[in-house]
Amino acid sequence: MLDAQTDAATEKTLEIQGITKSFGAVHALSDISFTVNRGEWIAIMGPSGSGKTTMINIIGCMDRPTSGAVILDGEDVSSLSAEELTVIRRDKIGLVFQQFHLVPYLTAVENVMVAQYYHSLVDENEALQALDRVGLLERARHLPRQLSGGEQQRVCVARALINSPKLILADEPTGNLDESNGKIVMDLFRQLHAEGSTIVVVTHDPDVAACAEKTIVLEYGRLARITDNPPQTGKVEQAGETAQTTLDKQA
Amino acid sequence: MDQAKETVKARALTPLALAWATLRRRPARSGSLCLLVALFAFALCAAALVNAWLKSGLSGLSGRMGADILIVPYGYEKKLEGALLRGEPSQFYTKVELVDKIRGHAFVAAASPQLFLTSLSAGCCSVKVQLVGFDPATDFSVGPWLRSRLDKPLGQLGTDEIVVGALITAKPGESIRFFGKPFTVAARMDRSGMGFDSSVFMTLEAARLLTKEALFAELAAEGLMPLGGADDADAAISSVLIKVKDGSSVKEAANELMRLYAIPYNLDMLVAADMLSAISSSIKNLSLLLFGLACGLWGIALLALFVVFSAGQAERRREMAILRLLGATRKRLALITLTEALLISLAGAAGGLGAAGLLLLPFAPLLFQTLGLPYLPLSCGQALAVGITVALLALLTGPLAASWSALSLTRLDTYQSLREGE
Ligand SMILES: Nc1ncnc2c1ncn2[C@@H]1O[C@H](COP(=O)(O)OP(=O)(O)O)[C@@H](O)[C@H]1O
Ligand SMILES: [Mg+2]
Repeated sequence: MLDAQTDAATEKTLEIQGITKSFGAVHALSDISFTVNRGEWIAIMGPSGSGKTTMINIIGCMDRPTSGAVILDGEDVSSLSAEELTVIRRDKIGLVFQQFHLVPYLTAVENVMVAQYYHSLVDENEALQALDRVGLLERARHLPRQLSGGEQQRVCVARALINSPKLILADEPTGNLDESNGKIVMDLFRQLHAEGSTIVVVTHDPDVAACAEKTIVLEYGRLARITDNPPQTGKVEQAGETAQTTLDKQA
Repeated sequence: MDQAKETVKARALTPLALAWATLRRRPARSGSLCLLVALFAFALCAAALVNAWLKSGLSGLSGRMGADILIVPYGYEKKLEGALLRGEPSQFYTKVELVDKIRGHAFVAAASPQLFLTSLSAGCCSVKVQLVGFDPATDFSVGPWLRSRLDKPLGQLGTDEIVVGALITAKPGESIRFFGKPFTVAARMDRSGMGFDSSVFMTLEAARLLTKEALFAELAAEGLMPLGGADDADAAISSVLIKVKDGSSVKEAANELMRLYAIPYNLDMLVAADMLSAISSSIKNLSLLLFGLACGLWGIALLALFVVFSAGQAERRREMAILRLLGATRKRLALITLTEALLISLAGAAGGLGAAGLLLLPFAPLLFQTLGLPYLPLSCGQALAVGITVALLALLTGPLAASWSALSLTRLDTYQSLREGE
């Protein structure tokens, strides 16, 4: 974490250089370039079908671009094999999904521990601490189906942050949540950002996007524009507090 | 940081732990798969055990019989077969002079008479028993077997002494009454797997005395009079056991004997080899049926496991894709799947073998008696061999069924699998 703060302004966590992605005749992404600096919070917006998920899957090393380069933490990952991508993914990336993607037969804490297991060493106490952070310590032994959508998404966030990833990616993290649960999850992201995490969030909700420092807008697979959002420094701290109080109430 | 981690209690989510978690938290699915494997293991065990029992019973039977040809009064060959195989009591008579005549033929190596009697009731037994009188001087059939338990020569067996089969509950030295007359048990035989187990052996002389003296009235009252009446009791025998000389054809010998004596003495005969081959074929049918059943169940178990583990199932593919997102290699996914299948097999095999042990072993004698087939208990070694073979096959079932799925998981498209869930 201390490392992360040195050179935060200059170091590039992610560089997207002219990537395209085609699924047969469908051009999901064409010639997209942008950069995400360490500690930055970026939102990707755009209408349905504009290529947001395709984009985040490529950044998250779940898929490879048809052409162009993806430079993650200084390494070009665009032409790595699936197994090599798996290693990068587990070492450097934390993932949060609209559909949560929790392992249904594992408890909340076990879901967090699986991420630890494949990354390094399983430490149940640390996993419990992560759940505590998202206000779910009491629900640690529950299976996903015994949790509400909001709770499942918070487990997902705990799982994403457990290995202190270089980059946290979230695809519509509030898409399946009601407003209040969406707010709890966004408060968690605010906290993570305040602590120095680099975050890329895909959303079609302008309120969610407004939390980020920059918004990248995709249209028909093309980069329509990149906008700088009004600085929200004050709001971040304030929001951090709100998140904490909300979670305290939950716990 | 890493060192600190190591000191903390670590619970590794190994493939085994993940597989176990899957099974434990889907009890219905896991239970029914286990049940299928258990059914297969049980059926295979039953097939293998029945097969082994029948084979040992059969070999006991052919070894014990000794005779190549058995001559009985016309119409009684089924009764003799029943008496030999299952100890079904029956009595029938022909004339003793026949024995010498048969012995006179060049192709006959040995011939010895037996006299059968059916006890009406005896202190020892709740059911009728077959009493077999044999001729100690000429016997070559049961004699050698009886001698294995008897501590004196056959010729010294008194007219008040008997040798009992393994299923007759009387210890040596005890006394049993037949038709009111007391007999001392001289020896009790080991299991033979055939009718002899529920038979009682005595000398021909003792059997004659019993027929003649004690029980004539009773026999007559029951309508079980010897063929020729009381006067002929001394001359009555039930069956002649014949051993053909080496080098002579049993078939030809049987034909010749039939030609000469069938009509005058109203005889019929059993060729031991034919009888045994008839039993062999019924044994074959039964084992075939059971093995067929086991095969069918195996097919069903394989199919069910295949379907459940199949990566064709979107749900399973999705779960695996999630693990992959978190950093599991494809090999690991395959390993988890195989472990899961192996655990199911393991539980199923244990269940099936346990059930076979509990249900089949104790009730086998009854089952075989009902089926009218010779039964001999297996040695520990034989039972163990059956158990191990079945266990190995059952253990193989799960991984075999899941192997295709495991293989296809190594080609899993993570991103595509997760999209399908949307
Ligand atoms: N695996 C795929 N095969 C074929 N077409 C795909 C695939 N993934 C995405 N697409 C197409 O690419 C386009 C962008 O999809 P997506 O990235 O999911 O958009 P968004 O997340 O912005 O809604 C869509 O037209 C979609 O149908
Ligand atoms: Mg999408």
